[in-house]
Amino acid sequence: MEEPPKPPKFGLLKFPFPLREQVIRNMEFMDVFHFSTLSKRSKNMVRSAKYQTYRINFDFDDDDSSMDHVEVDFNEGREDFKISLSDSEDPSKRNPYRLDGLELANLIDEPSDDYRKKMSSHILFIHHSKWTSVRFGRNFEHVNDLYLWDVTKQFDSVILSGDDKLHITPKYLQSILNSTKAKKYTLDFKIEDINFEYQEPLDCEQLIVVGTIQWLDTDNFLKRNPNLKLLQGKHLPGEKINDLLKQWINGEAVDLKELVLLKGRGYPADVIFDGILTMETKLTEDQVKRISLCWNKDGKTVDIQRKIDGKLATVHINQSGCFVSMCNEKRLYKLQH
Amino acid sequence: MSSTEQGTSSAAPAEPTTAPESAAAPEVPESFYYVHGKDKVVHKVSAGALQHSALIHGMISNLGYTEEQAKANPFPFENIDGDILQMVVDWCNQHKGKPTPPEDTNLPKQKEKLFDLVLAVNYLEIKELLTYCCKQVAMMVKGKSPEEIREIWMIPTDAEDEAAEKEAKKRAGKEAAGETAAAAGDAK
Repeated sequence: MEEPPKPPKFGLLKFPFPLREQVIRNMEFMDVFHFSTLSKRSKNMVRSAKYQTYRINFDFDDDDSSMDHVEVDFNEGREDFKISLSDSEDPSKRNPYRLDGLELANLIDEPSDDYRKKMSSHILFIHHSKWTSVRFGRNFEHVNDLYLWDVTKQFDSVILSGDDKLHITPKYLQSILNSTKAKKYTLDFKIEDINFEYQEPLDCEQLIVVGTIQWLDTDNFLKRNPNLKLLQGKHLPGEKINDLLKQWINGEAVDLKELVLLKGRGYPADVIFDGILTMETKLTEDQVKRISLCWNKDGKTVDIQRKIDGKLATVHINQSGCFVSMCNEKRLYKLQH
Repeated sequence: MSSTEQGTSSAAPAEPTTAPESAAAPEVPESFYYVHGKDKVVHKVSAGALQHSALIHGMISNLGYTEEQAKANPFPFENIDGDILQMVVDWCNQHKGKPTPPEDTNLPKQKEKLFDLVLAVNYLEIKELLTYCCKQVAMMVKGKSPEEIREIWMIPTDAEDEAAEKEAKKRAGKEAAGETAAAAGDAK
């Protein structure tokens, strides 16, 4: 009978677990990657060691899919790594200036129909990242079939933005927003259908729209998005802002901290505050200035109060737009110190 | 039994830089302790140098040994090779009361020695030296291919791991069966 191979007489595996993990945490990124491909055990060891990365970002390039990559960032002056995840396996159509994801994926001893899936899944498994994000720089014809959805749909941040203004269809926007779950959405695009209104919950904490936000249905918006902390966008009609303020007054989205709603020539006060009880602000001019970067001396500043607990929010309207800061104690404390 | 005297030279008190008006506080003489490894060679080390080791520091902090008592009761570290303990003692002496440099170039490059040193340092809980050592171990595979890493660190393949696990289970099963049989024999 053939004897099973003898376990190593000496080696890293002789170390107690915490020591092995400390060694792994001291390794370079590529060495850790290579080590993690040696066996299931080594892969799990890297995961247990909690090898810290600052950010893992999946980047879908603006127009050239051969430039698609995953980026692993370290926030300690260490070199960042970009691994090519081109949709082509043809070497001539792969970015030679990035680490070759296809080559690296071949080291991972797991079956997969798509090397990008295998690579992405492996990177996310072995690394503990403080921030995971995805950027879509271009349109996808079949975005629902994107390989990444088989790996993860959960991110800290989803960015929809290209170097040039991205022109998208409502269907595309819906597909992206419905396919992902994120704390923060940063959206910079032009939508083809100007009558389109997005009515589904986003379940995010921050919604930053670089361009117009008119596509957002604001009816019961704060109820649909109870965890919202920041909403930023342009050209939202004054009536919709008035409605958002009323939703907050009535106790929706209790953690909301800020609304930044921009509009050239600003908003009329009678529209914004229609049916809302306003009070003279309790903040000093200096405090308002510090709360709102867009403060203007010709603007109008008032406080509004939430019904459920009497919390105040300061609303400042001027020629640039409407800026609302929910005056919770933490924010005032920060202002004072 | 031989003994080494590292650490004693740095025990001399420093001259005061300014002349105090009141009488200077009496100098507390530095205390020394004794340690030995597997080879029984005793090393005399100052309490200041031993502060690097959380394990030894914890052991000696409330002892209040006299010089004679300390000499008569060396701390035995039978699980540490003599040459490795010597390295640790040297490092503690070199870094007594000094800020530790970001890199330590004096660590052994020889694989087996380094591995033994890491285990000893981990056992003695010398945090800074452990950090250096772990970095050194990590550097052993810097820029190496997966198969080179496997060879250097002796990492088994999945098949080898599975075979070893099977073997361990088989052995455990045999041992359990042996114990049951022995217990049955005892009962008769």
